[in-house]
Amino acid sequence: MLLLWGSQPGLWQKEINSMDISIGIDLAEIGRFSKIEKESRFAKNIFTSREIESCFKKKNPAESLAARFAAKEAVKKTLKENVRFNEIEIINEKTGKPEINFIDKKLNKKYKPLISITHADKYALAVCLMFKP
Amino acid sequence: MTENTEEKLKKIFLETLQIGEGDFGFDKSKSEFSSWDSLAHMQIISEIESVFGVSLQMDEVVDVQKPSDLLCLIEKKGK
Repeated sequence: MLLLWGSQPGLWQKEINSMDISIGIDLAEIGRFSKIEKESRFAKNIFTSREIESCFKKKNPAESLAARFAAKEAVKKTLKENVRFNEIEIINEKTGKPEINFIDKKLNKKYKPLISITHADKYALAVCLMFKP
Repeated sequence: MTENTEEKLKKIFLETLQIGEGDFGFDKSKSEFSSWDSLAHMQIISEIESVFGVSLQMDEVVDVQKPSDLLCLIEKKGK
């Protein structure tokens, strides 16, 4: 669809008008995730077991945890429903590209998100563009 | 609602939000605590679940606007 928009100027506006689109952004301080323990209630309330395994394999788990938290917050800001943090899963494709997986499969059908995440020394930032076809 | 419950909850707030006793109040609203953001909110909820042995549901915690709301929730759970 994005290619179509790019190749046919004018058509994209019509496509956008027919969709429900929202945007969410969040910034997280990496330092606040440095003392999180893998087995803690807090970790389990925020992250899925797959995310916890993935983040704690990294050299600096706090960076990955903060980036995922920012991504989840960005996603939550685009949703109409109240969804728990640990029901929004951020997974990485083989290329490293992040993807959103809702634990509630109905939400995977309802929403089509695009997510972008970055981090520097102290902060992780995420932006989510949410399409509701 | 025991004094013990109030003290335990207050301690969770002071430690999580890193504030002094003078800055805390059970009826102060979320917006009056500058450090009560979404991450701190989840830390508070998780600590409550650990300390009081309760499980708080999404629809219960989403409407929390002040510490006394959490005190009511803990009491409702019989703790």
